[in-house]
Amino acid sequence: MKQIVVLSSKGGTGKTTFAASFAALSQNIVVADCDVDVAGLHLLLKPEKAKFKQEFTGSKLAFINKTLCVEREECEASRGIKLIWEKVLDFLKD
Amino acid sequence: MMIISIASGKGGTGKTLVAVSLALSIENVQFLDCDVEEPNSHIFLKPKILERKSVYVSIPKIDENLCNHCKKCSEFCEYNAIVVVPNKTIVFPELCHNCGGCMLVCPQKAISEEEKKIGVVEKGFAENLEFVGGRLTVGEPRPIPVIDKVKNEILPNKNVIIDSPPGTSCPVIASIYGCDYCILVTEPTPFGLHDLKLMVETVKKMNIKFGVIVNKAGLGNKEVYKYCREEKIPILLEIPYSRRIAELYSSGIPFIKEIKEWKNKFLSLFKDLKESLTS
Repeated sequence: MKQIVVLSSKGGTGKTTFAASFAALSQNIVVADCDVDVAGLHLLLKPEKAKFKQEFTGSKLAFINKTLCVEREECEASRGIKLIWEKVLDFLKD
Repeated sequence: MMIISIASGKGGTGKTLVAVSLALSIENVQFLDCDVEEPNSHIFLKPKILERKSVYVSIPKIDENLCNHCKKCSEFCEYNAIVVVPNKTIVFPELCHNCGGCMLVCPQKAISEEEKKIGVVEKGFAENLEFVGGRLTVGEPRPIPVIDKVKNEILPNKNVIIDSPPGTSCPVIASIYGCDYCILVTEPTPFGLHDLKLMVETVKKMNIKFGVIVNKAGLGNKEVYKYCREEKIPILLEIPYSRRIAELYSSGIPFIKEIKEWKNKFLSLFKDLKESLTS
């Protein structure tokens, strides 16, 4: 089993065109569109309706329990991640 | 003064071309290249770089003399950046998101932080504008800290033009966040339209005012226009699919320099935007 990756740093150079062309010429292959952000391969290959569909869940999403939150300033440390302290408190309870 | 960002879901639609053309057509400009993974604007602008600032992130450092391998840090870390084996605690800097949480939960106070360089911010001048560009070191997975550092350089008394990366995910959000207006560059093809729709969803969610520039106009079909009409999205400008413009692009020359009437088109586009934002 061989695996070929089509890459380019610059956008719009023809990754999808190339991948789709290769796919059209090949037999017994699996094609993966890994451009999950702005996928485009399906526009060329027009796959039949997906037989398999699964929801993808990434990492957990933090939420703040306002009744417990003591608004320690560590949370606001200029890191763009606010109020992780809440999670810390939760964690320390166990 | 206002901050205008240039974005597009699809790559290669002409973000940098539009950003550079707009920046060279107006006065009192600061240009920000936030496409820190593949910065290109310097090819057009040829800025003279006067200052380079390294970008660092803080990553945990374990004091093995204090660590008792209780695993609290690795259990806390959502990004699996710390692994504890029986007699050693190992940090994977590439996975760390620099939240500092491990340091807070460590009962032994065995975790401190050390700085890791992940990129650089370059500052300088090009023609009429002040230039700021970021570069993420190849092999580093997280561009956001570099983008944030580029945006920290924003001067309040300047018209700021931001060239953002392609896509619709974190680096784009970080680049366009806080701007007054977002120009979405697209091309009249099924690919351009598909990704434009995703980008429109994104800017709507962020409550950013936006309009569309159609590049390579004349190519493809009319679907982009139909979509914009139906969604009441203004088409600010059309840049034709022309051999002359493509030739200049392929020589690294901003076409507004050679085809003068375009400078006025960008200038009046800017004036219109300014008016619509202040009224």
